[in-house]
Amino acid sequence: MLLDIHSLSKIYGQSCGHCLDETGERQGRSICPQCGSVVAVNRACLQIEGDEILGIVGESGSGKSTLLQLLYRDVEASSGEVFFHVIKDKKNRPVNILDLDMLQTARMRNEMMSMIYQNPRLGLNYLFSAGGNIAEKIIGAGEHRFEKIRNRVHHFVDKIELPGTRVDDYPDTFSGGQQQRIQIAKALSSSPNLLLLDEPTTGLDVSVQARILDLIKSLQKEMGFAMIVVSHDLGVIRHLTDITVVMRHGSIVEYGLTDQILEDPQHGYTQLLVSSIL
Amino acid sequence: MTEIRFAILDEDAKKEIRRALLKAVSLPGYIVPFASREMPVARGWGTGGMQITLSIIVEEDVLKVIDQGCDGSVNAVNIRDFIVAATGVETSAHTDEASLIQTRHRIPERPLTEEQILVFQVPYPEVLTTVEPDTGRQKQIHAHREYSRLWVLLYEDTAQFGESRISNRYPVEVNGHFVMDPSPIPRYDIPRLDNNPALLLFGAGREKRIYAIPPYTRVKPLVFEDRPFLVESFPGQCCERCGANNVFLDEVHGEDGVHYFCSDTDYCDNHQKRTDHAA
Amino acid sequence: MDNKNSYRLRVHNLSKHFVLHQRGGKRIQGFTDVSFSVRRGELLALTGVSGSGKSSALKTIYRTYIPSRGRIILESDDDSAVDLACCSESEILSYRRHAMGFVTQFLKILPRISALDAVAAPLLENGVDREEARQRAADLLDALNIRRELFNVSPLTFSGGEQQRINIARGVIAPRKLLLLDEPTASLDEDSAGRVLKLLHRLKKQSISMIGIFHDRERMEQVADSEYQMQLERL
Repeated sequence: MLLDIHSLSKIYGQSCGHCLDETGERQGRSICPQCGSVVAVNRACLQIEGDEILGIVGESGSGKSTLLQLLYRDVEASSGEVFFHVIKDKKNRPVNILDLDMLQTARMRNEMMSMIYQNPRLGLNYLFSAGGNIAEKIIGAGEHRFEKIRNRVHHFVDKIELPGTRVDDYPDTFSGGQQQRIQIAKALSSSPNLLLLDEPTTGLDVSVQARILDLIKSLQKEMGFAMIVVSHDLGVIRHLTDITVVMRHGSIVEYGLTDQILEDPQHGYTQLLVSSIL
Repeated sequence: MTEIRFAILDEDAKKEIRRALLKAVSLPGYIVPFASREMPVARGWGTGGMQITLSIIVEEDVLKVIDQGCDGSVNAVNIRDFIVAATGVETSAHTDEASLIQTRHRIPERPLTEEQILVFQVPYPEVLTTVEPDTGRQKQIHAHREYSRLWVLLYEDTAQFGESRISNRYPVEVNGHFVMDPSPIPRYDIPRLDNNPALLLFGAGREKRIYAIPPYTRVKPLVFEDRPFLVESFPGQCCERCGANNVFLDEVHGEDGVHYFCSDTDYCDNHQKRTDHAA
Repeated sequence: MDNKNSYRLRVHNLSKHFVLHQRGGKRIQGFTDVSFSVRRGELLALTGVSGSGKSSALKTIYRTYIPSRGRIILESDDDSAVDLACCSESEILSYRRHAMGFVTQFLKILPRISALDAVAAPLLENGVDREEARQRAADLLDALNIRRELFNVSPLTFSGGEQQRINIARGVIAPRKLLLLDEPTASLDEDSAGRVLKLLHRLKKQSISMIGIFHDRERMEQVADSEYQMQLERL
């Protein structure tokens, strides 16, 4: 077990105390009729093994990106627990990462969990070169030897098939697909245990998309980290993931092997989703 | 009519500055805000250093003021005359005679002692401005010592130019904790911040900030473990006036070429005297 | 060593139906009460008319379909047994990695990867070193009569028959103990089909168990040890 999510919720607004029961899949809404709060994620439970690739699908507003942001702690959860089994307390018990302070969160992000955003502007620092961006994560993980940092930067620049001569160029001078590759190199440069991807190829043209997915998949095989991929594109989910979670109105409505979700969906909403896309 | 108050500042102002100084000394390298007063010179002309000096100076002090190592430059002379007018203290150009030294951009060549206080004039107190413009986030970065971005600048310079391009204001880690801007002293002076017996105070009047390095504090420049920290060197050059060759030299470009002189005029005078004696 | 007489897979009363929520909960029967066993080193052929649920049965065993009822007992070499019908998704993934494989007639591989690397990939995942993996992949492709000039080309550009042989090669190069074969010889000519059947015979000698669907009775009889006939559901 790598990640264990217990009843994780996110409510936007002053909760009236009934929001979670008044919203979700069964209620067919994510806005609480009593107080108007928006329940973005409603008591999500999920477990991920150390080498699994999990996909989250659902329409816009289903809460899939919010769920990812809660895990990365870009957004504070309203309730629930998330045990990330590489972070343990002194008694070797897994720690609820929602309780981590800022320094511990920074450490978690630098060493154990990375995020790849749909928009590279969120994941890259445009004041730094491509190499500088990759170096930042390596340095953040505690490496202060220049040669080690430089070698590791070049190692990942090779991996993402960027010409080594361009390592010191700034992100603005690269194409959208290349910027996404730099983001991938940055995210992986600290050898994380878990990689979160939020719509990693949306907005790229189709041929570039395929190559980015190809790159992510081969790096995952080589390095062996777990991944959670959020996408509204079932093609991406089919291509990348082993297990798929379907979300609607903030609730998880179905969980299953990806081929099962696509070929034998159980829930009515999943059947609609699959039939409308295929 | 009221008399001119000793050291100009009213007692409440001095007290406020001294409180900021106490906090700064307690948290080496931490930037403490203070209510920077109007001075009879424009902000940006050493008002931060002046306010520190005026709030801690006592009648027994012997004052020395230098600008880039020089006691005789216009700014140094004006500031010194002003402080003397406001306090009546004695002055000296000799580093070893001074108890309180206000400086811009240099640390005197002659080693300081536990009896001395060195006050730096600081233009930009925040070391993080180049990598994080948001002051709120700057505070968080300091609180968590998340200085990766400063290291990235160092990485980029080293990758492209073989070493850091920072010639002055080189970032230093103080007491194994905060990283701070040591004011625009040359790299040559950076190692001399480390374990210095004197109390080092930093004042930025325009930015309204004070910080400090207490005596005998560990100060080390941000440098990769596998790279040396390089300081300015002047191979084959010595001061044309006194002949010193183990000091920080000023380069003077004249019509007849480049000339080198000691940046620290007091050191230069002493060294010349000693060589004259020997001769 | 494997006990040749012991079972690899026992399927009891396996049934599958689909519920279409978008059509008012309409129920479609896939197959009902299927029971059979496969011994180690045995190839069982699923037969039956079109629509009798042969492919569905394979997919249900592989858990691409969720079983509606029944048991799927998979035995490992140490005689421990699990019911795939009630394993968690993570457990199924682990069995798919180590214990059971699915060979379809459709090639599903990444673009831009050469035929040789595509076939060598399962060996690399098992920790075989790169040179040896490529050598064994080349031997297998030779055995399946793939021309050497195609080795370094992406299989996505190949003919249907060539693609299918690449797919079979990928499925058997590092064979799981249980292989599910969905029409492995479908679009192959006589020569290629013969080579594939020869390969299946070789796998049986390695005590690999297989369940296969063959579109051609003659080919099926050349390789199958037993047969299970699926019944067409009467509505």
